[in-house]
Amino acid sequence: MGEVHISLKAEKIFSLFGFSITNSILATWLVMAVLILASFAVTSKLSLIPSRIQSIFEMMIGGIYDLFKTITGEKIKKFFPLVGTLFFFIIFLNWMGLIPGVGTIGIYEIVHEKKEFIPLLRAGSADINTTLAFAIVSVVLIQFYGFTTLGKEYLGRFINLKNPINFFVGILEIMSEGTKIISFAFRLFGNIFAGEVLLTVVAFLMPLFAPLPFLALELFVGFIQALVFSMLTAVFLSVATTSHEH
Amino acid sequence: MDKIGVEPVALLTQIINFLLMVLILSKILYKPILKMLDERKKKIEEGLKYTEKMQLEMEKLEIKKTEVLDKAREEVKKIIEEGKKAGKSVEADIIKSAHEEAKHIIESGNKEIDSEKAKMLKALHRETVDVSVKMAEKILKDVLSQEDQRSIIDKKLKQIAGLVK
Repeated sequence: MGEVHISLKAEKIFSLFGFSITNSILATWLVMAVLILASFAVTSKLSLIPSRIQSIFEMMIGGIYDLFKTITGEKIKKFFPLVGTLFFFIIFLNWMGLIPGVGTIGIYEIVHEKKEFIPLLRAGSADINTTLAFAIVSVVLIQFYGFTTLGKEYLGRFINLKNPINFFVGILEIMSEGTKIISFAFRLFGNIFAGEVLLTVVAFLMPLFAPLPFLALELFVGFIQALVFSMLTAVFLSVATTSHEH
Repeated sequence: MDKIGVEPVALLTQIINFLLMVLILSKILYKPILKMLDERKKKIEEGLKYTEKMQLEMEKLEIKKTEVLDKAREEVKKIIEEGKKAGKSVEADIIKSAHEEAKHIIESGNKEIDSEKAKMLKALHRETVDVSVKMAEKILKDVLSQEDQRSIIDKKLKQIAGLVK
């Protein structure tokens, strides 16, 4: 192992129906499978007197639900599928990269007459496509909920012909919605990718013991980034669906 | 954008993945678990309410119990008093009738004694007369003649009879 393997892009593993499947997509599917199977296992035998595993799931979901409820109020019933999935999906995608073997087990391929290492799995959120996808869905759904809740008033925030100041503010609002996507996508990607790089470099320099505190730190960062993404979405949703005209 | 790795196919795949997760998780994870949490909350609330109600009921019952006990105590007191009164009157009756009976018995006894006394006196009278006659006969037989005897006896008899009377 003579060099550190760091790739900004997710690498292509194989092709499926002509579409190239990258290692981060593979990891995403793995996380999806685990989450769905775990959910099935728990919710197929729910009881009023909870088992231990049911208690843990209830604590996680109930806790996140109550946390978001403090932000959006009663509208949480409508928003929870979005913000809850953002939180749980992102946190497991983040932590996936910390599992030993993810990013280190892979194959060597000849690219451009050069032997190149291609890891089989890569933390799902360490791929800009994943974070950009989440950001786009999040912002699009914010617009959707804003428009369906407030209707014309929501549209009026962006296109306002009543006076020039409001017209200009409307343009700024449109731009801010666009920057939301960028900031969402790059905040998550940047944090998780940087964490991966940090862990790789530390493990390369000193493989024993030294990565431990950084692993703990990355666990924390993974949690915080998931919370930030979902909380910001909840805040934006709350702002988008609250009427300011009185 | 290409340098950082944005690819339309991968992007679309991840969007679809995410939307799928939203649908699946909300169906098989959030809905049942939140429903269960709500149900449990409701059950606990009901239980607490029920406990409160039962407590109130118990307090009411306690009050009722003391009321009934008080009432019963008063009744018992009344009954005892009445019994005492009735006993007293019966006692007085018994004493009175006993007095009467005693008086009656004493009276009848007195009467009997009186009649007995009279009988005995009569018998004594007769006996005395008989004895006197026999004594006189015996004594006079030796001393007096038959004539004298008779006269004296007659005289004495008359005397005794007068005495006895």
